[in-house]
Amino acid sequence: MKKLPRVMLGANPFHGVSHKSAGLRREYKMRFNSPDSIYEVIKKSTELGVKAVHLYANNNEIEAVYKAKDECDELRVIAVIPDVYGAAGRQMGASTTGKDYTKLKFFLKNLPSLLTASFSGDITRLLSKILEDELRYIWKTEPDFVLLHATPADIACATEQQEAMEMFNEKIRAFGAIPGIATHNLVNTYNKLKNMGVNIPLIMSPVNPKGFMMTPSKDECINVIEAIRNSNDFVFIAKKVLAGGILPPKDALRFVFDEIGVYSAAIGIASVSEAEKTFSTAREILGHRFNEEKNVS
Amino acid sequence: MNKVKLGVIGVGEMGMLRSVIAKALPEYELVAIVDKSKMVVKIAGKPLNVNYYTDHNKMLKKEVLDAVAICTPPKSHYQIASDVLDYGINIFCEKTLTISLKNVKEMLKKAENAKVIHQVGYDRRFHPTFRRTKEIIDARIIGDIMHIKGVGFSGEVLEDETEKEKAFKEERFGIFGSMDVHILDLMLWYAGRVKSVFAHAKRKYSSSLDDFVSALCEFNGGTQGIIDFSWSCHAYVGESEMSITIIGTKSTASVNRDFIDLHLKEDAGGYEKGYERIYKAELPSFTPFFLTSRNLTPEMQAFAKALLEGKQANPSWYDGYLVDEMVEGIKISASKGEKVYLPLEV
Repeated sequence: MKKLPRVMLGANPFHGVSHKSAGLRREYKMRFNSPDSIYEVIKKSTELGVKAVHLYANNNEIEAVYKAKDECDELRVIAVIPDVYGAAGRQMGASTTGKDYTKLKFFLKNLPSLLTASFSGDITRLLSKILEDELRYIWKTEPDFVLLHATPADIACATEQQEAMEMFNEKIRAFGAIPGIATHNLVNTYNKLKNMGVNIPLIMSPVNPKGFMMTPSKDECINVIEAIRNSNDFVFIAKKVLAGGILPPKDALRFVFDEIGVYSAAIGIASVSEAEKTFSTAREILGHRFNEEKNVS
Repeated sequence: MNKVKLGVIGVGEMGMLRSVIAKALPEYELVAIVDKSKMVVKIAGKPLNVNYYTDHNKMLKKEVLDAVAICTPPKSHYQIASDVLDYGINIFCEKTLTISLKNVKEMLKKAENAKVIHQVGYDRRFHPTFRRTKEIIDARIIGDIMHIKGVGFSGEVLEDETEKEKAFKEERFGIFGSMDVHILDLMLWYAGRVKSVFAHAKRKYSSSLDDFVSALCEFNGGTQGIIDFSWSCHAYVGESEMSITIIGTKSTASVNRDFIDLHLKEDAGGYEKGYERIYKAELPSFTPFFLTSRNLTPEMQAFAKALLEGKQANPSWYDGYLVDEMVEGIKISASKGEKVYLPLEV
């Protein structure tokens, strides 16, 4: 059993994601090109009472979170894996990306799994090995929760890869964490997970007043969030709360916590001053609920 | 037909994404996939639960298909499309249609003779900001277009490349292949056909491929156009930029993947006089299935809708031909150092 906080520091700006402009994406990549600048934002967020940080599988984030955890025992880590391109680079040998022999390295490294896959079409063994490599890569941050990245999760649900989802569940639990799913197709993923009966208790998906990235529609997503709230099968985490950074925190957080009633939200923060503004607003809106945590198993 | 029975040829990144989307969309039934690699097609085919082949002709012979998606590299499109058209099957073909204008013209002619529905993969037309800009133009909010400028900068080629790498890029249309053909397609979509081009190209890292391309164009109707492309910009490594600026008699719009900047001389079409930035996030595009930040789902829905309604799809291969013709015109103009008039004699 692990404790899931209500308010979490999202990681998108740390690896250069912005939905506002290419200039901002370039700026984030430069700003967060070392663990120290990421650490500063995490540190400020924890001082403001935030108890959890999201983590993608890249070295700067791993080092920053590791340092922050060293100073703040309470800090929980929600890892999202795999970073598809990063994982591909690690499988092929990151330093040789783009060269001809990277494919050869990949084939040699994964020969047994590839042979199984090519004879039987069973990709589970290959995926299992890649997943283990990714878990080892992030493991020093001791994540409490590990979410499957939205792109592979959506592909797996759309094509009903029950065996792969069960493997993910077992593998994450074997490492001592709670598994979850990130998705950009909430309705489809929720229905498929229920049909598959796989015990993955966390679902993370976009929620915001604009309906940005709420597939297939804002209303249908809200209906599913309500169904999740009324069931004991899943716990819901909202992402893209500020609609890619275009909404003021007050409007967005009121919508997510008070109107829709989601339990938990991850909010991407790109600076210390943004952390101060956003998390103070979250505390103002949530009041005593800001410090609540939910047991998830 | 109430569902489109689809076969996908080529299951690299694009073919795999198309296959998954076809599995997820109610308009499609994914029937079969093809890839030259036996291992790849088996690894992809089993989880997708579809028939799989290493030869597209075998699939065409065995399966009952309404449409085929060709997702192989452009060099192979001509032959594969020709084989598919022999069966009278509708085709979605990734951009660019092929790498020779003569072949594109033949493909188009054969498709028209076969009376099939055809679409080319210029997916930026389905992106929220670029699509909204088209709606703004069609609603006459910009007025008459006087000037249009397309810019594409990336950091793809920053050092001398091996012969193999050059050949790989040449097969994919050089500097134009990844992003710039999308910009040309959008410019043609917004401003109409081009009458003439006067281009200049510069090679820094390769003796056979252009690294910088600039051109002045004149569109039918008199719109002036400027093109400025480079894949050798250090500042744009890992973060390419594509933008189009349109100056009209009533307003100016500047659009990229993230937002539209609109400057209006007067209130029009629900927009107020003055400056307004419209973010992508304010233009949610609700689709049954979202996969990656590309625009592949609405694009595939548009193709299915055309098939189910028996209407020609957009962008059609004719639109693809116009892009390829413009690229050819730019290349000829740059090599001769003189203005080139379109349409070209092929």
